[in-house]
Amino acid sequence: MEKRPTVIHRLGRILLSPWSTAAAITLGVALGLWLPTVSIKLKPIGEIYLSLLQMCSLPLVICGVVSSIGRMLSDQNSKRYILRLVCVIIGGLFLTAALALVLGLYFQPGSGLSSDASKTLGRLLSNSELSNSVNISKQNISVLDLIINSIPKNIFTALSSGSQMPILVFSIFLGISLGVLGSIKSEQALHSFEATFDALLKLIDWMLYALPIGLLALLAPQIAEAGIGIFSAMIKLILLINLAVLISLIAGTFVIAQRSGKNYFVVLKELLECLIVAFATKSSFAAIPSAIRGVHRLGMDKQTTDLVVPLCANLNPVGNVHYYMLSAIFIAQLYGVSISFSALPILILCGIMAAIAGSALPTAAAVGVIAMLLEPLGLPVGSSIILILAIDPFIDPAVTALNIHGSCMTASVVCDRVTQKDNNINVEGKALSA
Amino acid sequence: MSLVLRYFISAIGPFLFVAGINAKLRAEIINAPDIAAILNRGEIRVAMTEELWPPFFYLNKNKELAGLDIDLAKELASKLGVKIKFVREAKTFDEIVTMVVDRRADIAVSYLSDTLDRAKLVRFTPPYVQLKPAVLVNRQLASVSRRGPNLVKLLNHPNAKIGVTKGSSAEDFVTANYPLAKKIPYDMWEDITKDISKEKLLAGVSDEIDARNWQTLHPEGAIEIESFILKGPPDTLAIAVNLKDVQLHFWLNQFIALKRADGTLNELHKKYIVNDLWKKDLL
Repeated sequence: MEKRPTVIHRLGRILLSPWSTAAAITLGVALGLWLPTVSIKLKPIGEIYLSLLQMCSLPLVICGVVSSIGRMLSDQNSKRYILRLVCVIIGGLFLTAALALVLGLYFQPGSGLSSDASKTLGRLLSNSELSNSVNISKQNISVLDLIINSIPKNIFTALSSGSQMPILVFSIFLGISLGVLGSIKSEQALHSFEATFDALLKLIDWMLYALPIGLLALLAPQIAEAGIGIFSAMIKLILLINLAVLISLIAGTFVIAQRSGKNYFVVLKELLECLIVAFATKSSFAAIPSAIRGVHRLGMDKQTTDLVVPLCANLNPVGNVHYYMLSAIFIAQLYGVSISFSALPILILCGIMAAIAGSALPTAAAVGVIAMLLEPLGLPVGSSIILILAIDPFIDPAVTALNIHGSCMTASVVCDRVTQKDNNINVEGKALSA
Repeated sequence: MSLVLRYFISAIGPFLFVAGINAKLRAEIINAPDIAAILNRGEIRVAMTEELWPPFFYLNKNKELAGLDIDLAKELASKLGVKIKFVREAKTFDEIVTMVVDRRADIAVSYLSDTLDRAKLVRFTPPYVQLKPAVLVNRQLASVSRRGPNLVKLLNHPNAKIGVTKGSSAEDFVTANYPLAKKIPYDMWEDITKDISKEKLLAGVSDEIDARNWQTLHPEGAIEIESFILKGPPDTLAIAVNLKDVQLHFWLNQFIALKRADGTLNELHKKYIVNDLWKKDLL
């Protein structure tokens, strides 16, 4: 009777350990490379795991945002948070864009292509254009469109289609109104949102036991399906984007370590789970629950974290900035268009807008957003989308990981460390609202 | 006497395998002078341009002529029961037409478009191949022009410079579809593609064969140039005959109709235009 739970516990600990995650990743990559046919058969398992993770994300985001906004309204310090949040988001995006610009102009990913590489790119374009197998439309989104699209006409349509911006906007409004009501009933409603939120986090906890299997089943088919020919032709851009992501990740982790007062490697360890989930699923949305748990473990204020992490996954996609800016610089260099000094501000602004617009769209449509950067520079859009889409499998994982890391970073800057003093304030706030 | 001979020949005709003998015997009783002349000579002279136009005619690995036009001409000659002689002297397509008019060749099977201007000089059979028109566009000039992705809006504009080969059906296509554009005639298609790359031309118009050949020869060119194969009015290729050879013209018409009905034309189209397996046989 006593032995069984220990065996299960031990198995559970093995499954949750970073070593089994690492083993799953290695095995997934190896399978994808050496046994592509077997790997592709694993695809349904990976899809099931991804669906399970995403199943929890949407209600988790709603509950987290509604309850934390509702709580924040009864907190005198909330104004300070919001101002800080806006500053951090804008500052982070601009810094990232500047980094991308410097890297792109220094390393020149699009110039000096070998003749073999340009032949590969040309063939890719001819094949996909003449056969019309790739049917992509460019996405031209103005700021006004962005605002209009983020207000839900029908919240249930937004929920069923999983469009995140409208859901966030609705949750924020609902949270504000619940907080303003300040009655016992609204307090109960907030409590039920909090309870659901905790229950969903528990659900995610259980799902993480299957993370090694999920990772294996997600990675192997991805590796098997990726084209190696195009990989070598555009290797400079692929490496550069991954390098930019790495630099931002290291810098961001330093910021989190500073803010949380934890050791650099402890921070990495706590956030590793959400980074791996984002990397393997290529969906920052699926990684939101893990990210929230990670930031909680770092000892940041829970209430603000629950709000900031989901919000920033949409509003602060720093990884996307690298993706769009470096891709646009690559295209400009490929077509021999020099980027003038006066074009730099336009490039940065459009890059940030494209990044925000792209974070709410699925991959194929998100690549189309690059039109926002290319058209002001007079660069061809159709061919560029095909080229970028072809290398997307090699850059999207890292970019998604940075997106979720960026929202953890923003959360750590905006939120206070939970100390005795802060808790007292929270308690006072609750007492006031009650 | 001639009636007896005719019965005799029709009875044994199928057993006479040597084309020359068969042709000679039949020539004596054929009244149509145009066909009789070919049968008496024992060979049909087929005009082609000096320049090779794969996949219509090219040299294969054995340094023999091969291609869609060659297959068609050989089939035609065997049905007529004569040998075949390819006369490849013409420098241009219009010179091919002159050769048929001057009787330096009996027919022309030579990647020849049946334009209305040429039809004033020679007779054409119904088309044996229909080629879709193709437009090659410089991606960057198209993007800078900001006239959108619609090809007509982009090309039917006074600022649009479009290259076409002189006397080709592409010239008529541009006049009909992009009347506002600046049409610039060239001698060689190769020069047009070079000038599109150099941004001297916004676009070039030709047919799907030229577009596909260009892609095979210059795969890297697709980075700068986008090719569109249009659904619009096709460029049609047909066999040309001297206008006095009425019976030969009727015979060829029937031959084309038969080959269309039994699927041969479709097979040739698939073999040489849709697929590019023939490229492996290219010298």
